[in-house]
Amino acid sequence: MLRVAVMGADAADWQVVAARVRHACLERCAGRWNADPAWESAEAVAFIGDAPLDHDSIVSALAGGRHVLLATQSLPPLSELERWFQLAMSHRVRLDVVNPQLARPSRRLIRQQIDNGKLGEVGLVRISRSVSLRPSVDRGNPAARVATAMLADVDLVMWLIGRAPNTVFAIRRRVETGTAPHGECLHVHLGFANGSSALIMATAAPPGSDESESLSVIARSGAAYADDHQNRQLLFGSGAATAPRAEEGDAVALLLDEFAVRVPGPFDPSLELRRWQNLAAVRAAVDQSADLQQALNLELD
Amino acid sequence: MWSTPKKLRCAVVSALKHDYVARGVATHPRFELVVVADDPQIDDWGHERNQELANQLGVPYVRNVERALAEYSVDVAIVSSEAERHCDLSIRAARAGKHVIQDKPLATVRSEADRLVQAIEETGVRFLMWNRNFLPAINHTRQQLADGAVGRPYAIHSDFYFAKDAGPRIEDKRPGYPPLNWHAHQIASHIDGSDGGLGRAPMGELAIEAIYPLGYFEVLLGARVERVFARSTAHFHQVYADNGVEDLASVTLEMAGGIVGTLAIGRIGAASHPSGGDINLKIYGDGGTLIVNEALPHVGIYYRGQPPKEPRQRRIASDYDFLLAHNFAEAIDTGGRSIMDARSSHAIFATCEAACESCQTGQPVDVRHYDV
Repeated sequence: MLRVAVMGADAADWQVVAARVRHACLERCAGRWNADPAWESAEAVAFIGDAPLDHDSIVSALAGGRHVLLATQSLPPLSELERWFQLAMSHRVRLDVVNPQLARPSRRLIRQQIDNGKLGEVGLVRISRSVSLRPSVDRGNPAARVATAMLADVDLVMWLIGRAPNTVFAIRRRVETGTAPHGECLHVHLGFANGSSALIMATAAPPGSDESESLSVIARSGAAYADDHQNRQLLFGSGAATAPRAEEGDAVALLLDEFAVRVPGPFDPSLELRRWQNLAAVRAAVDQSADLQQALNLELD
Repeated sequence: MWSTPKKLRCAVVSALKHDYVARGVATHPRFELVVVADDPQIDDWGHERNQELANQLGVPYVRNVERALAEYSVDVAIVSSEAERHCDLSIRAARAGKHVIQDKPLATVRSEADRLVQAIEETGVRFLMWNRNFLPAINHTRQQLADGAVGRPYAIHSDFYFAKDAGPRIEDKRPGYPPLNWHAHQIASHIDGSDGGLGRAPMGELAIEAIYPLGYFEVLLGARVERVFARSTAHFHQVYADNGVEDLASVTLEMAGGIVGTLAIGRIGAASHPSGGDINLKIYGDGGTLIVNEALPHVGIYYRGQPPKEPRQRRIASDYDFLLAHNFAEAIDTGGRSIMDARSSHAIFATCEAACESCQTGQPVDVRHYDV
């Protein structure tokens, strides 16, 4: 089985994750490339979690002939990603860059219903997401937190609709919360050549707030709803009812298994690279649209 | 001595579209339906509908609006005609000194909307656009916002989907078949309640239904919409595609005070929800987030052999008809505003007008309000 060194795994649930993976042998690693003995015998390296990417370790792993999986929401600049794909090709190793959002059970179920024709052609996707600010991490830059969340959701929309947008309209708002860091609200309205649309809003809630999310997909023959009203329990006591989320889990084990299964197969990064190039173009268009307060047209593959 | 408030005598001025507004008003003991009236030159099917309602109510049907308003000591005109005649009938009633309750939409063209506001304000009669602002969930949300549950709002979203069919589906259209006639379709679908925008000119869902969620935004935040960006498509039904109007739309709203709003609206087909459609609100503030299921409270009812289109969740404790009528009675008694008067109705009309224009231009459009 493929030997995979895993960076960024949470120690608390590592045993459960490792037990679920069927197609790889895992070793949880810390530190930089070659700082952990497990690196030497690893055939592949997986970077997961929310920690900032260790660019040097990624480059070293690729240059050292290891297959690499990036399964985080912290994406590098496109130019860096393009360099990494080139490096992977030149060393005949695989580089997979995956959006963990797409592996969540709810997202996989919806995509399955689209693929099997039950829902029909998607007409409108709506995502609303509120993320909690982390003062120790986000201080001074809550916009980056919101932008990261937004980008992951744009990728999800493109995956569900099956194409890149041709229209982008964005609005950005700063939200004064009375404490530092301030909040951010980023709203994006996407249009697609087949008439489909998407509404995506990412906001940063005050530190310590619960996070909320909602996804709905309206399609020609049906619809899918994965929102807080569907996925919250009720907790009574202490004066006011609360609504704890029924967690889906983060699908890390699934991502690792799927990666391990793909590794022996052919690797053509052109499709993946085009996907990330499109995403980078949408990201740039979001910023530009918000600045200009105008809708922008895109021509993407 | 006991004093009883004055009864308000109501004329149902055309029930071509629906009778639910008139029946809703009649749930309040202050309002008494005394006559059904309409213009003589309407189509025969219109006279049939009006007569049927009159028979059910046990009141006369008069084929002359002005005569009915004069001879039956009418205080209030309730207008539920096809959309093109809304303004004309309401203006005529207002000029005759009658308060007006009107069905949606406010108007089909800007000039009529402007004329209506002018008539209402010149005559001083009270005006109410029938709406859903007194649903239990909306009442509760208003209270929560007033209590500061989310702090100062900065964003508001609504999904407003009617999970209803509207005739043949787009994918079932056969090559060479003629386009479906909008007006004929609306008349034919009245029997099962799936008719939406009754009128000779086709109307998309923005014109037909957006008043409801935009009414929520108005009553909850009181923030004027200043600019909109919108997209629309005929995604589900042949009759919409054949007539160049949308059954699915998405709107981004820039509102006063920097508030961002969005609206997703459509007539999405009966298969797409177990209980008639997902209608929700999300309100983000600097102190929290409120997520509202507009259908609550409800009870789930399921049984063997249940018809597919029967809602599985049944709304309960909703007396918004009574509350709307009560609000209007108070407006009449005090000379105050109704919860959706002519000005606020015009603001919603102008927002929809701008959204439709944005769908055409592909760019944001400034909303032209009545006083601009």
